[in-house]
Amino acid sequence: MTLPLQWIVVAFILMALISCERNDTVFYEDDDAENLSVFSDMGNNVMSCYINGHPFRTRDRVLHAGFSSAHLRPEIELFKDDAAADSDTLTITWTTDTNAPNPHSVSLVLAVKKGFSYSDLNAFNNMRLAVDGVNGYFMIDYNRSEKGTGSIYFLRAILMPGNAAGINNQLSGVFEATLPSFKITRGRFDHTLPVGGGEGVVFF
Amino acid sequence: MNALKKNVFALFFLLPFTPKAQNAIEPYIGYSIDLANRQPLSQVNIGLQYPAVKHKVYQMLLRVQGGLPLNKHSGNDAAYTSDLSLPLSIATGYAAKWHSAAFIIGNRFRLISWADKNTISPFVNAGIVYQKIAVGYNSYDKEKYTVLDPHRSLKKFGLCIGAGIQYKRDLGNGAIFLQAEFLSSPVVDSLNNYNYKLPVPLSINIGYVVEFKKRSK
Repeated sequence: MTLPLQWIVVAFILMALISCERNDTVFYEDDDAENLSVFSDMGNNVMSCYINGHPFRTRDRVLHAGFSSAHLRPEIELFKDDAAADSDTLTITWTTDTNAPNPHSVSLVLAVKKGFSYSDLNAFNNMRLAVDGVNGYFMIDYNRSEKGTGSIYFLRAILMPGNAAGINNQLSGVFEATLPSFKITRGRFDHTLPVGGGEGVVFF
Repeated sequence: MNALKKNVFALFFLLPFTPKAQNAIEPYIGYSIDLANRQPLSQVNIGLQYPAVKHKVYQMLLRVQGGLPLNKHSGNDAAYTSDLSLPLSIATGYAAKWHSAAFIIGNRFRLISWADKNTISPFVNAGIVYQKIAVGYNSYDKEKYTVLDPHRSLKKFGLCIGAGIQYKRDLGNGAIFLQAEFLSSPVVDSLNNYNYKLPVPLSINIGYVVEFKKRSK
């Protein structure tokens, strides 16, 4: 019994489609900071910092493509919580690989105005702000019982409502923070921000 | 590392099994410019070539060569801090310098000669080259400031090829030569650098053929 050639070709094409994967992270190591990425605004999709002197870097942004849908495994996610009556909360979470040494995530929680929208994120562009525990806090591994203070500079914070999937949606900057058990130093991040859907990292 | 070992091993297969006529060495000094990068980089090269196989019209040369920077490419990058007690950004000066080292096997063919003294010989090369563009920044507070899109050093090692032409004038006891050549950038898997390309040197070298008398048995 022999299979027709065209069925063999079709089988190979289907197998190739099933295994299709795209890595959207580019890691350039900083010559002056071992195991950290450079501080860039090129859309490299990586955050790195030292946590208690140990390097932390986010996982690669990988898009797994299937037959009918794509699944993104992002390194950064932006969520808005609008449950409170008088203000919203914006949470930026950076996640590392699950098999990386602890910790696995770093988050910045910021109090923002009620009805915070895409265009309101642009107000952070080129803004440096102190995260003092009142207007926001840093946390590690979603541990809200251990909140940290610090500072962050957003070199780019661009989210264009009319250009939801474009590369112009950017978030980059530097930060540092002190938590009761952790000290985060030399943080730097550079991301593109696809919005919503199967390839999103922004959810509000 | 295994891939590198394989390359070195392959190169040694190119060596002749029966080297002969070990009667000359050819030290030289020269000037190289990099054709690959927009920023002008140059270096002085010092090398030694040895004709391991020497026939009338063909010579196989073993060469070692090193290159030291003659100039530097410098500029300023911006560095930022999130610390509100410090200025948001500062300018940080950087300088890039080009170094190189190579081991090359050359094949030289005598093309034209006249008056028993003058020879023009084209040659082709293959070898291993190490290219380094070293970037250094002026002193700044690296704990507090982070350089945006910093210039990064580039260090790569790999196989290369090249070609050139030599003019040689016999002086009786020895000879002088002038040769112009280019060498390709090393073949590497990934450049991993957004500032610099691997240098492609164009060189002009001047050297002297030091001849040794063969021992009589």
